[in-house]
Amino acid sequence: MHHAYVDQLSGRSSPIHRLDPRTKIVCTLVFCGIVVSVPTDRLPLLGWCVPPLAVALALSRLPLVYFLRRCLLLSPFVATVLLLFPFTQRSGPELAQIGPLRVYSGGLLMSAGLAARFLCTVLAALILACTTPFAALLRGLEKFRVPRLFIMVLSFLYRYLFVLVDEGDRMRRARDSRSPRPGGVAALRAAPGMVGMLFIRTYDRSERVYSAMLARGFDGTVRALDELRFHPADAAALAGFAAYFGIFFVIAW
Amino acid sequence: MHMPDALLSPAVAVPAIAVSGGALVFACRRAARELDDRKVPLMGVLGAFVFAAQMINLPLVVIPGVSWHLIGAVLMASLLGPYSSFVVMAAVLVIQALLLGDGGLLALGCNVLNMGVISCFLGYGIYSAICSWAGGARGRTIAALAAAIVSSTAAAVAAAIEIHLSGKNPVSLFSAIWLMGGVHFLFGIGEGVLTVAVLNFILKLRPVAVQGGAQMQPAATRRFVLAGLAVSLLIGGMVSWWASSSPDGLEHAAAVFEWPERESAFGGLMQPVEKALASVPFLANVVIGLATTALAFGVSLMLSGLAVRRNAASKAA
Repeated sequence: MHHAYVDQLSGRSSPIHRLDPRTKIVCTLVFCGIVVSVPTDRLPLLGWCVPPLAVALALSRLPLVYFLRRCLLLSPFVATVLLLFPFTQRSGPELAQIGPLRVYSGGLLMSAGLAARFLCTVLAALILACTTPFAALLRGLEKFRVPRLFIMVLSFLYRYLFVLVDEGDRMRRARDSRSPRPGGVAALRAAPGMVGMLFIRTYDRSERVYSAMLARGFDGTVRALDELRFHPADAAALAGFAAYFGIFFVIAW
Repeated sequence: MHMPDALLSPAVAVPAIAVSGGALVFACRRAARELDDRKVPLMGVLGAFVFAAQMINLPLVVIPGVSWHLIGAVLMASLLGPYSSFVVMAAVLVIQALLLGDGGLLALGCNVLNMGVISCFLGYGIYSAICSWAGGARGRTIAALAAAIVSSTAAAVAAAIEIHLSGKNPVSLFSAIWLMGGVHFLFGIGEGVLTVAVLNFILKLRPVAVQGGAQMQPAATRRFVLAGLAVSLLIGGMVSWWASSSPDGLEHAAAVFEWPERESAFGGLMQPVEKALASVPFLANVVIGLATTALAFGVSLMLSGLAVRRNAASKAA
């Protein structure tokens, strides 16, 4: 199973890993909210958001190189918006002219602000994901009154994600090894059969899963052994986070 | 089309979280009432299926080297019904945001709204309406195609509007809607064709799987249509209220409306229409907001209305 990279770092141990998932969820959401609220004309305020990220990264002892690589994975959607802004936002002095296109400083600033905000929020979300095992995240969400059915669907999804992605990979490899030019129109013609077959295998698998659950005494509820506990470290982390951004709001905002 | 946090402002993200959260709680309740225990693992494993199906990349024959993939919302909606399929798609979006960094955490509200609520409920409304209006294989083909195209376009238009309301739209609202809607209209055609083919494949091999979904009664369809109308009015009203109450947004829009002479082929193409609209900036925003939402929901309203009448007629006969 080579897709384990998705959740590979959350099983380590560090002060951040040991925090209660609820603490980390709250801090991450508030942090992202603050980053997004910083107005574009006061971009230097984003500098205040770097120290908490740096502290969390240092304490969590996550591999830096891996992290930065993950951050730089821009979706084409975000890249389009970032590239369009310098040419269309016609505020501020004109900086350069490339053929018929003119670059304005206001648009460039907007792009830079978006990129900085993108980096901060993606880093925060990645730190949360890489320091909390998914099962713990789900228990944290359950405590926040997320519907139980949704939690159960999420946990099944996570449990069978890797199994089914492997299944899909095997089918793709089988297709490629049987077609002279992989990636042509033939791939399109094979697609409905592949997706349909994957669905039928999934459907049958869910029947087997349900039978196996019944055989083990499933009665509609999932029970977990270890309950979440709120440690002094969580209180300290929350207090530190609140104090830092309290000072930020008083001094800088 | 997964939006990151950076493209949204809190004033847009927070209401979207409230709407999607409410929809999720409602859908979970309905799904739990309609389904037995057996369907819980089915829904979870089907979420994993959607994930795996999205990883099967297909060539975009028109442009070599670029690939696309199935989204699966309409496929799930037609197989599982609106409530369960929404829960499954929301779960997929949550996992993508939490584990893969695909779409931000605060933006989950908007992403679930666009790719869950709109895709599944609008998609199911159109699919079931056309299916009960014109049954058989041909009806199913038209239904899945229409549902995929409309829901894909509507989701993209909603995303464009959300980005614009957040003040992070690099072009005018008009251009953004045309760009996003146009691209996703084309993707919707591909999605529709693939969905039809997959549906037919599953029907041939395992017809039981298709009948498993919770089907809605005609009365429920009517309620559903009324709810759709209410939502469309709400969104349209919100957009026009927003446009009238934020002069900054208008000024920004007006500034962007004045495209330089040969800025881009696209700008030149849109110039006459945008100039006409820019002369009445207030009206332009209202019209665009109302037109886009009303168009998407109007189509579903019309089709569902036809279906309800047809069902009533066949019952009377």
